[in-house]
Amino acid sequence: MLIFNCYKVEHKELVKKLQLRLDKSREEIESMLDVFCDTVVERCTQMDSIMLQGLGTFEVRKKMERISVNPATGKRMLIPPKIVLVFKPNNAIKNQLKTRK
Amino acid sequence: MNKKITMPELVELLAQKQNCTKREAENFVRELLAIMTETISSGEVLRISGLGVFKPVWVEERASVNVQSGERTIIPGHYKLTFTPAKAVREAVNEPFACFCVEELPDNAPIVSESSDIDEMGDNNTEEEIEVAVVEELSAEPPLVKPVETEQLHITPDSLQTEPNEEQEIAHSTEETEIVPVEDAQVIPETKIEEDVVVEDTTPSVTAEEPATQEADKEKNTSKAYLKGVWIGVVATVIVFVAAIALLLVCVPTFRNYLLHNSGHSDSLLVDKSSQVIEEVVVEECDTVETIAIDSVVPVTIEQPVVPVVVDTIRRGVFLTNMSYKHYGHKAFWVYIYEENSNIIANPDNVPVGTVIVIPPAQKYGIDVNDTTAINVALEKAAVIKQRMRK
Repeated sequence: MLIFNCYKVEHKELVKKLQLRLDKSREEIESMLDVFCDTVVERCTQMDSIMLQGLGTFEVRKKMERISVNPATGKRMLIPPKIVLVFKPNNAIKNQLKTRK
Repeated sequence: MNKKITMPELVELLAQKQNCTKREAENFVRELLAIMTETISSGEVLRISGLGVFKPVWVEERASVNVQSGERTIIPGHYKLTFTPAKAVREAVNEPFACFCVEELPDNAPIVSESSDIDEMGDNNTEEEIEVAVVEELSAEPPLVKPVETEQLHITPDSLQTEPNEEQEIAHSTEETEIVPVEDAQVIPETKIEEDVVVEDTTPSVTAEEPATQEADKEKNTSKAYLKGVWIGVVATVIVFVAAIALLLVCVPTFRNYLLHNSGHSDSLLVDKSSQVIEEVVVEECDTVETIAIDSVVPVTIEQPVVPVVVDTIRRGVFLTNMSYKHYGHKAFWVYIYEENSNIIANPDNVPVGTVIVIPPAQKYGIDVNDTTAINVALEKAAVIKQRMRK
């Protein structure tokens, strides 16, 4: 698994970038970002999907229960059903990533 | 539920929560999305602490077959964006299924579904639906038979026109007073609705009698006509009763909810009783008795108290303390769950998996999370129980 550039934008850096663009204090930006994330998660817990223009869609999917076998021990495990948050990127982003080498 | 939320709605929500103007919120979201898009499409890893990690992952080239043409193609290696939600987010989203945990299956064991609780609930629902459907089938009968009734009763149109109102009154009176005084209905005909119905039912027999005697002066015919009239009366009362039930179901939503939410037995009771009434009608052919029977049946079904029973099942990793925390918000209150189920639970430290536990309502034992004295009382009780168990 390769990760090109190996460059990470961490939370703090994102806040700094936003600070530059929006001309606001760090605290303001951080609280805003927290509220944004909370809203997204809250809507998702209510089985809604959130469409973000230019970025993609946050969706909630239900996964059925399944039986998985541990290849090392041969033990069968019953994995319970679960609800997961899925992000589907925009076609533009997908294509841009695909064409990058 | 299953709504699609777009940018404007999200901005509105954000502005509401943050107590700022919509413009500010919109600006923020736009800039945030721009940075996110930029970062992600340039192939960088983006981590937002309240949401998760966006990370491009290399997908190796692989062979594929075009399904339509059968052509073999090679999909070149490419990057794919993955999103891994943060732990808190994952748990928040999975909250409804949080009670399940991974279970090891014994070899060659039959596949057992873990979500047995949900299945049971579903079964109950379907049963209830069936029973309600039965009731509604009963109530669906009147329109089919009613035309006949109106033909026979066309001489007394006034009483017919007022019939729907009367039915409503029946519905209301049974609901409000619950018990309709039956003796009054027999003694004072003007005031009671039931007697009106009876009068209405007996009129067709008289009207049907007259033409019969005019055409042929045979007693057989008259007796037949009389029997016919009685039968029409019987049918009419049954229809009125069924229509009353239908009105109860349609007009009084609370009663309907009550029927839906109560466990099936009350529904079946209702159905059983109604069939009993019909049998009585067939055997006795006496109008007054019918109306009495009908009146006495309806209140019985209404009077039953509504007690919602909360039930939980002991599973792996779920103990009385967990349950207490889940239902009351504090684990100290497990003692009350134990007290409520002391006939089933021998040892509160070791409850067998699959035991169905009745969770008592919080008011019954004065359970209150915010009340420290209540918690202390519960803890003392727990200590007493522990001591008793040691002996």
